[in-house]
Amino acid sequence: MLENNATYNQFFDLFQQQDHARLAGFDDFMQRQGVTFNLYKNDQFIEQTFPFDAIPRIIAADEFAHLSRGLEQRVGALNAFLNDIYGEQKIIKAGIIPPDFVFGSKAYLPAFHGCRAPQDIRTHISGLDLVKDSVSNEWLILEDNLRVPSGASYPLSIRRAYRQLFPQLFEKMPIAPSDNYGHLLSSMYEHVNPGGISVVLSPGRLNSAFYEHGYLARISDARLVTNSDLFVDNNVLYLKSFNGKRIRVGVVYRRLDDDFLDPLNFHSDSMIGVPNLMSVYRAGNVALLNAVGNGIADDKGIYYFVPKMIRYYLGEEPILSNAPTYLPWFEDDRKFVLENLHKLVIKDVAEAGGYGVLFGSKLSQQQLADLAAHIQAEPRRFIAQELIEFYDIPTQVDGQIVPRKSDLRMYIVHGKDITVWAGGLTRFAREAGNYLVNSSQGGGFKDTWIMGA
Amino acid sequence: MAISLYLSPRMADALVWLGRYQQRLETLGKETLVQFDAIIDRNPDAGKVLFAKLGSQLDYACATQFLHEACYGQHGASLLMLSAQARENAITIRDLLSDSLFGSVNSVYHALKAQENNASLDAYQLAQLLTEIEYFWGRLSTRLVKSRSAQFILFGQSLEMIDLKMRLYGEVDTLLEDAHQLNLYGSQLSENWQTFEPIHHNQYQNMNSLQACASNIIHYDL
Repeated sequence: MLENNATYNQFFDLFQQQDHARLAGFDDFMQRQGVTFNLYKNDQFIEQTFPFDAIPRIIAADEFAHLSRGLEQRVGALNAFLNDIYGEQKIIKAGIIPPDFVFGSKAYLPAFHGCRAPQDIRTHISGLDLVKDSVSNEWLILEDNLRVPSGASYPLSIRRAYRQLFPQLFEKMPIAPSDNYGHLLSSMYEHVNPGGISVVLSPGRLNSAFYEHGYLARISDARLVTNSDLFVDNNVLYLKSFNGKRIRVGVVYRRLDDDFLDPLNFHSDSMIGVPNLMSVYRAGNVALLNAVGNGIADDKGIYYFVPKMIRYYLGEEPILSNAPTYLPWFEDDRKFVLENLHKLVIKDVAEAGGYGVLFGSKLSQQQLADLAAHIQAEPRRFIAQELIEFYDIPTQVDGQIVPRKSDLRMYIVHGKDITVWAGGLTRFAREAGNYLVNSSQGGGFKDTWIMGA
Repeated sequence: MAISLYLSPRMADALVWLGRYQQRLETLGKETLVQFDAIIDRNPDAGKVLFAKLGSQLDYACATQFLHEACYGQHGASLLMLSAQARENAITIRDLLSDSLFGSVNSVYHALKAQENNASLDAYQLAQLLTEIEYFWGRLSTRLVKSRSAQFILFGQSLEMIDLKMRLYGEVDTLLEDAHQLNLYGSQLSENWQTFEPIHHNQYQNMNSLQACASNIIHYDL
């Protein structure tokens, strides 16, 4: 079902009056600025621009206000959960979350138990994925991304091009500015910084989101670095300077996973990490963004418990709901899942980026039987969700406006305050009827316009 | 202190090489256009002579073939390769470049790459492409306050200018102004800058002194 509202009508009225030949300017802009999302396919590095659709997702002011309240609440609870899990573990002792779900997760890092993050902030930059259910007309949280959520640079970059190519739309519609994202980041750096400069640590040129790493460094007054630029001495992290001097680093916005951060603490064969970085972190001499061990909070199994966390830590009812989710680990849920496998969406908790997602309705009898056997053998490994009939939004394909499934990633920056950025990455499936919108699955992106915020 | 002062040896190196490759691309591009014109009806071997000075042997039968070989040939001085090298350096230090500077480097590469397989790039188009590099230098020099990163790029440009003049023309007299510029940037970037002074009739020593210049300002080890 196509999402529509009065603001879309206003957009289309104005959009029809524009010179559509200018749409080609978006491709020129992205190629000239190298706005790429790189892929590895058949062992080949493919540098490609991220497919873009000029029709934005439009969110009304009151809707954004509601989303903001819900996302701030959720991130606040997730941060409290992380501090608790790496601290007193009260939520487990209280019986809210079964210990198996924490201690049985590969994302929980017991070696960091008792290790406090600067200012007790661990969820510095969160990317929460939402869809809007066409049945209830409500936004639902699909995923919490608390490790290295990517994608903010794409709508930020394209907004600049949009304003240059179609200024009338911004003159006549009350579109909230989104260019404060860099300031949100740099203010947050300042709040958590124990001393030194801020850097964005990238795995390097061949990473799929390398464009984004450079972009975010630039807009947040940080320096884009790779591991060879950094070294540790006496539990302090330094940038090697070209003149032979050393410059202390206080904030590392790392764009690599925990496993690769420090070869002396994690994967010993990591070629992209900084030896002894964890010693600096443990000594409280550097803020790592996001904190080490956050994966436990965005584990797909833990997702089920987030509403309970909100009630437990904040004493509030969740403002935004999860998609209806079942945990085969619980006997009742397992029974339900096995009986309804053909109409549920099954997700492997260890996978991400749209991988490991199975739609029961598309599986053969044999495949369903195999899946049921896997679930019975490893119930902790899977979650099941009801298929959400989320809205399509208008998308331009070959000059025609057609409906396409799309989600929304909203970014929340947690510094002195928790702030929801008035923008977001809208991803859409490029084929009709496809529910997988992930960029790694070939999806495209749109800008997200917040009205009058 | 501005964040742009914080540069690692890797970043400084990439900035210098960006300046060098941009200058090499511009000089060879312009020389290619001059020799292309000569090949048409005056000196059929003009292109071979030019690229031989850079260690590349070109084989062609006419001016159009020369142009294609200069741009896309399998040799170390092809314009596409030089442009790709400039772009790779620009990508790795993307955060240090403005959109207009990066866009200028990137667009030359894409314009060259787009015509790699159809042999349709003509001399007029190449001349237009080279104006993008002039634009790049213009953007660097018109900024009111030059950032440290710009100084490294301009240092690389001066270094390459001297290198090319020695290789292509072998004249020391024409180097004096470039050497002055190089020494100016060098002394701004390093307290221990050792003045580069070209010596008459000793190209070998001049080349050696020139190649040591970058290590005067970039310390790879602490």
